[in-house]
Amino acid sequence: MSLNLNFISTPQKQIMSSAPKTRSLNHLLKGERAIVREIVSEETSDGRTLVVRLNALGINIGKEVSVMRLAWLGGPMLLRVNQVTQVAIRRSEARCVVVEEIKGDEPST
Amino acid sequence: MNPRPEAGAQSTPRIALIGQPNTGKSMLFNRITNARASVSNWPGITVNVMRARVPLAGRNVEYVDLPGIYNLEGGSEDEAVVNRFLTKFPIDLVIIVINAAQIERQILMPLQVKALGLPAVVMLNMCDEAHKLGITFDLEQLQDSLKMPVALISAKYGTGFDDAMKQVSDSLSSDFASKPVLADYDSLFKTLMTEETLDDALKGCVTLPKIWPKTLTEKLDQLFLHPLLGLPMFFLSMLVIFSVIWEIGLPSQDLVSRGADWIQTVLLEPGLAWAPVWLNSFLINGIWLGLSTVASFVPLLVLFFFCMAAVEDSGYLARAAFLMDALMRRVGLDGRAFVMQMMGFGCNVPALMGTRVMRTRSLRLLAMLVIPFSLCSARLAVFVFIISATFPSSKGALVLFSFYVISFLAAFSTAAIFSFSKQFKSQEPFLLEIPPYRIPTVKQVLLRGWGEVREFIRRASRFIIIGCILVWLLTNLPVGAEGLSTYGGQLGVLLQPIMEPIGINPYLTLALIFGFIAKEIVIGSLSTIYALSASGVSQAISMSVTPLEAYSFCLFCLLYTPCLTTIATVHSEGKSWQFTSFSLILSLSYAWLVSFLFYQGAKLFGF
Ligand SMILES: Nc1nc2c(ncn2[C@@H]2O[C@H](COP(=O)(O)OP(=O)(O)O)[C@@H](O)[C@H]2O)c(=O)[nH]1
Ligand SMILES: [Mg+2]
Repeated sequence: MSLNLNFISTPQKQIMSSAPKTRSLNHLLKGERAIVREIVSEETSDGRTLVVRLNALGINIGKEVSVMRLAWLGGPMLLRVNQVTQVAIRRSEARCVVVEEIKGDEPST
Repeated sequence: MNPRPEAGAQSTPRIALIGQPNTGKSMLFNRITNARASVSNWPGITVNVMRARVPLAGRNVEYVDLPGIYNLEGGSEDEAVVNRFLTKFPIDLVIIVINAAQIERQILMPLQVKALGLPAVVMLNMCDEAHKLGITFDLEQLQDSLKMPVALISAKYGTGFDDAMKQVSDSLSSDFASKPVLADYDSLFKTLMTEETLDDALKGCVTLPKIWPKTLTEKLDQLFLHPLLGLPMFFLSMLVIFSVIWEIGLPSQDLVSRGADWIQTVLLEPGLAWAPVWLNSFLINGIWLGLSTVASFVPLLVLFFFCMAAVEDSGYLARAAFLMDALMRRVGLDGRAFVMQMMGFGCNVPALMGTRVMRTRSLRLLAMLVIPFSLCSARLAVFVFIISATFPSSKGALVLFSFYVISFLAAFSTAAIFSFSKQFKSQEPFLLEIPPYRIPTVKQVLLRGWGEVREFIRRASRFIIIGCILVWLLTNLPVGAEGLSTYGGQLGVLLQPIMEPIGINPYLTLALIFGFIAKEIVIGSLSTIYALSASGVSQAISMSVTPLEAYSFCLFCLLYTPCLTTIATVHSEGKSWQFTSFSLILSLSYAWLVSFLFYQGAKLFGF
């Protein structure tokens, strides 16, 4: 997957993926881990920048993310990406990231 | 004036520091240059960039600290600045600063710089943190893979620094550095960087630990980011900091102002005995009193800036952004805007410039509209002065803190109202890196704090002398006039129909008029107006101004235009006359309305 092209190859506005077990990142709960499978963005300039910024912070296809905590009143999620980066992301933005959950203590890829 | 950097040939080699935000560029820059940087305005890129000239291996070298960016191809304001810089000014060498622990994603930057065709060295910074996490590097392999020198350093503790600088000087004198080059963005755009490119570049160069240690940051965050306790704790810690500033800062202010009194009575007054009365009054009441009163606040501000520097470096502000985003979103802003608001506590100007990280113009304008409500250090000095004169000392810290709360409330309510209008509505995504907690070193805090203080003094001294001379002229002319019959007094009286309903007397009105130039002038001008030293004015105010009037005065002072520099910055950043005038009118009317409601309301309830 190309770093700066993966927003072009993804279908527009399609958030649900047909594969089982995937869901969007904003549905994960505290403590859950998952692998990023797809980043969906609208073909607007805002959508594109979102993908670029997600990538810059290490949220890329195939990378592991885990939810460290959720802020009060529907505030942002605190994610750990790649073990070493902590990222705060609003749940509305997290909707664009499709992930596959890692169950239990299954080792990550 | 700084010599203008020019685009043509130059004799001094130029080295630019590039890296993602928060990788320690500024810290490395300070270490290299011994903090001798000056801020330069580079023609054509309309932004202030830090630079300094220092010798390296016997030859003068110019270092430039560029803004931190995530991606050389990105489209934010900061990224555009770096782009413009690299295509306008030839570079001899780029130092790419990387957070060693995050090399997996930050390796993008060296690859992109290489695609730009710029000679570069890589510095893997924060090796202390990577080491604690158990990450190890094979530097030789990495050098082979990147085809550029790589060094592992800690800018904070100095590890590996000397070797790294040797690499820099070797690279400068070796083959390719014969001529400075401009960045070739076309070739960058043509290069396709994929995930695999990044992985390949790192193959076999980095060993990650099998089991990641549980970090101190995680443990601390359980406390500081607690869903319920997080925010109360944040405000409590702010209250503690401001109490410390109050308890320690105020006695120090007293001490300095007593020293100034002593100089005046023992040295100046006898020394100027020969001078005619008007000259004597001009020198002592016009210049000395204004200057010495402002100077008496320097120790308090030093303390304040040290505290701010420590808080900023600790990583706590990013947590505040995380905690506050839920609220900020509801008023049309985001967590970053809250952090800018906090940065505005020091000075509104850098906070306004900090909004450059926002990409959506509407969001940026909304943030810039509310930042001037942030209680800056100059206003802090005014409030401390007025509060300590009119309120019992035991209540002082709390009264002061109330103004910080009001400052936030004013910002929130303004944002909440205007976020409905389409000029300020935005959909910008909120995505923020939360760095680990870091313990600031004493040296770092002293350095940062001192830098801020120097800036304050520079700004203050520029405005204060002019301001105080103007005030002195207004309050001493026409010749022979006194009190309210002077021009200044008449001006104050003229404005009474507006200022009386908010409980502000003609003298304080005059001080507020000059506060328009800069808040530092307010206390200086009070000394000039009352023709008394700091302690004298304090006494005069405590006799003639009720706590209610004092509070109303401070409210007005908090909410109306902070200073000319802020207006100028709002204008240069917002690039719109309409917006600048709107911001100006809004703050003036808001200030009057709030003071009016407070003063009349409090009187109604019989205070
Ligand atoms: N542990 C550690 N922290 C560092 C090091 N260098 C910088 N920092 C911290 O990283 C943070 C960001 O540094 P700064 O110089 O402002 O980064 P910039 O945004 O790239 O200019 C600050 O809190 C520094 O104290 C280092 O070598 N080790
Ligand atoms: Mg910096």
